[in-house]
Amino acid sequence: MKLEKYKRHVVIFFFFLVFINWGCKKETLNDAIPVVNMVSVQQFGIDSVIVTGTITTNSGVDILYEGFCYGTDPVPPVIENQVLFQTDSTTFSAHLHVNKDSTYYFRCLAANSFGYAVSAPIK
Amino acid sequence: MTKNIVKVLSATLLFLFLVQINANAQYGVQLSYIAPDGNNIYIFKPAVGMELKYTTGTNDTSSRVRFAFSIGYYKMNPTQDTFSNYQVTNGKLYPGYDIVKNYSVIPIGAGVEYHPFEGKLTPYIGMDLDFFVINYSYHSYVEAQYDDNKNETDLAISAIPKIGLTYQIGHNWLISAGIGYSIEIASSSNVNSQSYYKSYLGLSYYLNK
Repeated sequence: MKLEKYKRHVVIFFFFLVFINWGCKKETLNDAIPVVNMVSVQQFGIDSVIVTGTITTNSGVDILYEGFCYGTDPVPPVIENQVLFQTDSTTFSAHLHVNKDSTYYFRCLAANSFGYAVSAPIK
Repeated sequence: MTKNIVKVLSATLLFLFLVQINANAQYGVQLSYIAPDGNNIYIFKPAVGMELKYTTGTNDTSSRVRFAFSIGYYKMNPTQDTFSNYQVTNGKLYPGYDIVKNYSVIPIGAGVEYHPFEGKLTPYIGMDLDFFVINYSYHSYVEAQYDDNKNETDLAISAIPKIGLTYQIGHNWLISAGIGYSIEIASSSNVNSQSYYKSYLGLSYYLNK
């Protein structure tokens, strides 16, 4: 069987397949990392607060850890006063101890198998 | 490292041996566009690779089943300068990052192609089995845990089903183009997936005409 008769069609179809590969969407690792935001900080008694964070997007990858960090620095380091728990709920909360005479900044964090993300701090 | 050099040299010698023993064959060069899939889609940009290829069969319609052997090289560049990394120790998450410095791969392959039709222009389907020697180096940092430079070598095996077209030019030259998908079968590490889409364009020369 000769294909010469259909040569043009075969070649066009073939290069269509090849260029599908070239045109595939390109990703970066940041596309696989969750996005998190602080929702609220509520006073609870004299020396504690209830903080709530949310995962805006899990980027299609299972969440392994969620938590908070806080301190008097306007951008508290991730390891400062950190609380961490293994859960995969979209919204998560924690009861944190604070000193009533200080101003605190809170950030929430989440991690999956590709990396971790930290929210912007709120007062 | 020495073991890997021996493996690559062995494959090259096998390639040269096949060149010597079979005059009814094609010898060619193939350029590939490699688009990572799986976890590597987030870590590496698509890359261009090169392969030296030996294919059995003569330049006529009687060689519908052809066997191919190849050895190649490609280097992949990371999608970002730094990658998020962390370690959980004693219930605390320590943040960090990785910097990929080098990631190069030597694929050594064997495969079969079936050409169901006759003529100057013929499509084919095929399957390659590739063995990969992956050399990579990176800097890895996690706060209060470690700050290391690492050089490692991994090995992997993939099956690559493919479809393509060949077009004969004159008596001695053959252009080949195709697309395949590398399905990783086994790897010495779970972090170096060799799953990718591969489009390729090759030029071969027949010795027997």
